[in-house]
Amino acid sequence: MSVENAPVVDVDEAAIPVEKKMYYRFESNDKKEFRVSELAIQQSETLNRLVEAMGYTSEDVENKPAIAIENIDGKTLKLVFQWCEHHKGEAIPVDDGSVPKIVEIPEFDAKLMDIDNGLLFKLIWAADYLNIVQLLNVSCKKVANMAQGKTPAQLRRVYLLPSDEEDEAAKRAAQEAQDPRAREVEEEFEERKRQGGNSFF
Amino acid sequence: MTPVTPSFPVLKLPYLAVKNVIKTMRISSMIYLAVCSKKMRSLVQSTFSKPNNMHIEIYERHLSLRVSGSICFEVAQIPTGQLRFQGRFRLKVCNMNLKDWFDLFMYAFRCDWIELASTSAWSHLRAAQLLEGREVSSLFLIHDNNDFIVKTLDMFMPTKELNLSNRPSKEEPYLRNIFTRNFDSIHLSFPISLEELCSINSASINIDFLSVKDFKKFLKNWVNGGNPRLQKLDVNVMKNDKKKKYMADYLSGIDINSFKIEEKDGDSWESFNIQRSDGTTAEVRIDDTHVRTHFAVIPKSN
Repeated sequence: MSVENAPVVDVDEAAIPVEKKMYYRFESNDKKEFRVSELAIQQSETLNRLVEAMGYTSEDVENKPAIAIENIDGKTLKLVFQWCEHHKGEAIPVDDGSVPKIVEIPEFDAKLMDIDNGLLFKLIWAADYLNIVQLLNVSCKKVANMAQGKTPAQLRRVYLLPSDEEDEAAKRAAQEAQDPRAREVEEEFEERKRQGGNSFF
Repeated sequence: MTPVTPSFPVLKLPYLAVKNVIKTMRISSMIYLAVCSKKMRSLVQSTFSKPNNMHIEIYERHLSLRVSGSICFEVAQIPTGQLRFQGRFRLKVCNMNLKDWFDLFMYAFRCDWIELASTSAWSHLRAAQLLEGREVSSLFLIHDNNDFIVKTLDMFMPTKELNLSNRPSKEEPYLRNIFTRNFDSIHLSFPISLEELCSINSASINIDFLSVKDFKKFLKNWVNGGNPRLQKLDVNVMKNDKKKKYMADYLSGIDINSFKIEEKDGDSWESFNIQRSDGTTAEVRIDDTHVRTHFAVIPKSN
């Protein structure tokens, strides 16, 4: 099945499916609405738990407002739901802890992820947030593939990796940024001690 | 104009995703990533959920490394100062010698157990430099040159596991001092006497040969409190032509119980239990198909 034919339906763009299966409605943070089948939702542990906890009936789905997913935009959510619909009913892989982890990117997923790095970044965040194990696997594998044939210097550029010196400088800056408050707390503590207070709080 | 390589801010991903990216990389990429910074080295290490063992074979010009039996690669230092991995790709990193690389692998692959295997062409000095400050957990010494064996044992006596293919020839109590060490496991591929077997203080013993007569004496010695740390013994007990005679030899004069004959999937074996005065029981299992005899202390139930 091609990416274009995946049975995710934007409410604005296509007709509502007339199947008996339950379709849930979700809304992205930019107010885009999606209908997603019950079986597709099972790919996401987060959404699956959410709809289970809500206990929606078919009528509820139609009458109540769409479930808001506040930290994912419509463009990313569309990819997520296309992926879930395409892979609905598939077993969720269990990590056996082996390294390197063998992950194959199927053709559908490769086409779906033929996107710019910015959107791929958002897709990984979404897969992590919604706990979609296999989507996280394939999207991370795509990022891992960027390392192929690269030297350490090239890897630093591709993955924007700071050097040890930069890490140290960032750590020092973070400590310095924290220090004023730490000093305030310490001064407050000393002042209370001088006033004879037993408890800091 | 140089084409711009698109970048991806991998460290801005959620922690689980960063680990997933690293775990799904090729080993060569993981190694290169570990070179990038201390932080990346630590992230590579965090992808291993449990500690690994590092099996090392040291050659004159290269190291052969195997991490927990699954990640295998070779590292060689070639004259230009570059390092060659698995003969396929080269990496030039300034200020890193073979020892630096080895230390990096030990850390990044979360190895806390070193298995050192002897090879015909290694230099003790080179091995000592490489392993400086580290403990060798297991030593596999498959060699027939006595000087080499003795020197290796002197320099790299393991803490947990010893595997010797040939008897080191040196005045006693040299060998006795080795046998009485508290190894977890000792594997000897040369004949030893009953007295030597009874002096071994390892929890697990694997020896190739023992006569039926000596094995019976060993059992009696164990019943009387010998080899107190022993949990497991695997031995090839030289078998008489006639099986009945063999079993009779085993059993005569030993107080046994729970004698059983079993068969499964074409394999057959006989077993019996023996017990000593403190109540510790061991099962002796004679594997008829593979001609091995297994002795195992049965854990006490609480």
